[in-house]
Formats: sequence, structure tokens, C-alpha cells
Amino acid sequence: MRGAVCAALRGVIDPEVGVDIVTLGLVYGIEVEAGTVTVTFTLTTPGCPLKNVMSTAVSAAVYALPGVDHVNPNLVWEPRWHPGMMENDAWRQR
Amino acid sequence: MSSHPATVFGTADGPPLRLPGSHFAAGLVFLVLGGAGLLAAAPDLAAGSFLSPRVTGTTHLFTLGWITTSIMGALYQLLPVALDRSIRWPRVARVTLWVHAPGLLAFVTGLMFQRPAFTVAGASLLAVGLLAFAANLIATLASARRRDLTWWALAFAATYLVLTVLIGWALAANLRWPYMGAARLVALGTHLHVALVGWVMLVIVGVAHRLLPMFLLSHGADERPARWAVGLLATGTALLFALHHAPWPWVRRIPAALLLAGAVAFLLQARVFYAKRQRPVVDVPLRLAAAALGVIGAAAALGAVLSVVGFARPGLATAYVVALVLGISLFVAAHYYKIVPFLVWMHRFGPIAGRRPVPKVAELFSARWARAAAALLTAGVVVLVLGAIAGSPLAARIGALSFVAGATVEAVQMAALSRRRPA
Repeated sequence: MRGAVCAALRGVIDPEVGVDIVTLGLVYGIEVEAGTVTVTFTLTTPGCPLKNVMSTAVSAAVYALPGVDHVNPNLVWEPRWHPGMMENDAWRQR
Repeated sequence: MSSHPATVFGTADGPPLRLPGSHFAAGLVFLVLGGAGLLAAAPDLAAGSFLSPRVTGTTHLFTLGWITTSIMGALYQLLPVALDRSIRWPRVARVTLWVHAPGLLAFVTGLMFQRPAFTVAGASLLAVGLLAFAANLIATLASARRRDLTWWALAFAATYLVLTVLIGWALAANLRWPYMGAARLVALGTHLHVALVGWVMLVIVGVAHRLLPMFLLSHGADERPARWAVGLLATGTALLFALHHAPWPWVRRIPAALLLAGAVAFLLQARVFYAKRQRPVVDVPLRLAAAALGVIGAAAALGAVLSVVGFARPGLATAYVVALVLGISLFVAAHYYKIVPFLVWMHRFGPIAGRRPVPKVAELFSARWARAAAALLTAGVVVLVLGAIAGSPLAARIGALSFVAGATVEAVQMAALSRRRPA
């Protein structure tokens, strides 16, 4: 299930950077318990205006998976994201 | 990987798209009008007549119309995010533009056609709109819990906006009821610098400190130059106002030196952000922003020369004012290509993200046309500045034509962008 959630989150693109949130290193954790999925993630800039939009997008992407009854999008600002958290091939998507 | 306890959703609500959007729409109208004003004022600019009615009218179309209206819209969007506080008086925010914009049109009409009654009436409306905006900004800042560099930059900027309005109104009243005599020129120079450096540059330093690392992905860069920039620009502006009547020219060089050092510190900060960027390719808007910073650097260099040789060389003085006003204008134009598509995406495409494929922000407009607009605007500014230095009316006209073409392309692109919706 974690793999399926991770794959679904690769469909959620940071609209400014143009790269998905997994490749950007914004997803800090995925927890699956029965039908409940908790996605702990951050954004590139503290106080980003997209916080509500991206939380909704994370929920929508994971809810679309079979067997998911409930999604907790858990937006955190610590540890603070930095570009070193990106996967090596992040810019190939662009 | 486990969930982290520090879940933080901001408490402040962002404004509806209409609030920043109406300011950006008005700002673009003033940009095109300012470009048309440049065409009309080109012979005066080449002649070094920086106090001619056409030049002063056009200057205000840029400073109060394009730059200040854009800042107002951008701050209504940014403040709730940066301070985690909603705008203190949302109703005042909705009304100020409709006082400010007609006031500016009346004011510029009065300046250009030498109708002092229009000038004073327009200046009074402008003063009401701008002071209401400044009061709202100060009240919003006062409610913030965290006071970081952006907070301080905006707090100083708001103070200098009030000062700009007061000096400006006194100058407008002097046109109707002359009382300043020869002191008018010194007051005019003080007004220009309190406005462009104390108000506009401090906003730019405070906002760029947030936006440039976000756009360039240069998180963790050394930010000490920005702190120096805010301190030097704020102190220099205060001294400029306090000492502008000092009888000794060398005393007036002290604030000039501080302002110059502040500008250099800001440019250094911007260079650090660009150099530390993780993005392999700098996109069109950020290339235009870099060009704008180059023009602002050229203005600082011209300012340094003028502080030594004095304002006896009208060509240099005109080139300095043109480079400063249009350099800042380019910087604002660059950020429209970042902020407007972002807002359209957030309000129109964000709600369906994760459910359906959505375009990226940069895909909402044509990069090719943006490149054309950036090239035309930048070339226009460079040729205009060189035309003013060389005293060439032809070069000034060509530069103005290029600028107005670039401004029109950008305005048309933004208008098309504002209509984008999911299919």
C-alpha cells in the first residue's frame, strides 16, 4: 500500500517548481493503518500560500486508491525543507 | 518515517483573487499609459528637462500608477502569508484603489496640462487613498507576532510612504499657491528619493528576500547583505529628509553615501540568491528580474557620479531618474510573470489538483511572448537611458517605442492569463 500511495503522490506536482512532491523530497512520511493513510509532508517555503491547496491535492490523490477510507494530510514545517532533499534526477521532469 | 507533531496551518485567510487582481489590472493600465507618456516625453528626456510637465506626469504614472498600485496588490496577497495575519481592515483594502486610481488620473492630467486645480484635487484624493493604505499596512504589521527582516523593511517602507505623501501634497499645493521658492527643487529631490528608495526599494528588499529564494530555490543562502540593505536604506532615507535643508553640500553627501551602500548591499544579496540557486535554468521572468537589477545598479552608479559632480549636468540627472524609475519598473514587470500566473493557478486550478491533471504555473502563458516582452522592455530602458545621456531625441523615441511595445505585450498576456480556467 505504501508503494501505491507513493506512486499516487508522484502525480501531485508543485506548480511553481514543476516537479512532483515525492521527487522534490517534500514527503517526509507515509503511514498506513487499516484503511487510514497519513501523509506527512512539507512545502518548499514556510507559510507558502499553497498549503491548503496542496493538502487537498494530497488527499485527493490518495483517496483515489482502492482500499483507502480516510486520508490525513499532515503538513509540517520542521524539519525545514532545503534543495538538498531533492532526488538526484529532479530536473529531468522539466 | 513517522508523522511530525508540528502540524501548522496558517490562521490567516488569503484574499479573494479579485483584490490583488483589480490592483494588477489597474497597474497594467498605468504601465501602458506610462509607456505612452514616455513616447510623448522622449524629446524632453533627451533635452535633460526632467522637470517638464510631460516628464513629471509620466514619472507619476510609473511611480504611483504602475509601481505603487502593483505593490498594493502584491502586499494584500503577501501580508497574510508572510505575517500569518489577515489584512487588518479588508473593507478599506477594497476601497483604496478606487480613491487612489481616479486621484492619480486627475493629478497626472493636472501636471501634464498644467491645470493646478486638477493637480491639487488629484493629489488630495491620492493622499487619502495612499494614507488609508498605509494605515491598513501599519495596523496589519502591528498585529504580527513575528518581526523578521520582511516585517522591518515593510514597517520602514510604510513610514516613508506617509512621508512621501506629505511632501508630495506640499509640492502639489506649491503649484497652486507658490510658497516654496527655490526650496522647491530640494523638496522635489527629497520627495523623489523618499518615494523611490524609502518606500519602493525597502518594499522590494523586504519582499525579494522572501520571493527570490522561493523562485530560485536558493534556500539557506547568506542573508546578511539584506539586513545591511534594510538598515542602510532606512537610515539613509531618514537622514536625507532630516538634512535636506542643510546649507553645507558635504552634509547631504552622508545620506547619499548610505543610500548608495544600501543599494549595493541589496544587489549583493540578489547576486547571492542567483549564485546559490538550485534551479539549473533561470526562467524568463527571473532573467528579466536580473536585467532589472542591472539597470538599478546602473542607476546607483549614476547616482554616485551625480553626488560628486552635482545636478548641473541635466543629461546625467535625467538618465539617473530614468534608470531608477524604469529599473524598478522592470523588476515589477518581471514579478508579474511569477505572481499573476501563480494566483490564477492557485484559485482556478489548485482546487482540482490531485484529481485531474493540471498545467504547471509556467504553462499558463507563452514563454516565447514573455521573452519578447522582456527583450522589448529591457532594450527600451537601455536605449532611453543612453538617449538621455547622449541628448538624442531619436534614441529616446526608439527606446520609448520599444518600451511601450513590451508593456503592451505583457499587458495583453496578463489579460489572456486572467481568463484561464480548467477545461
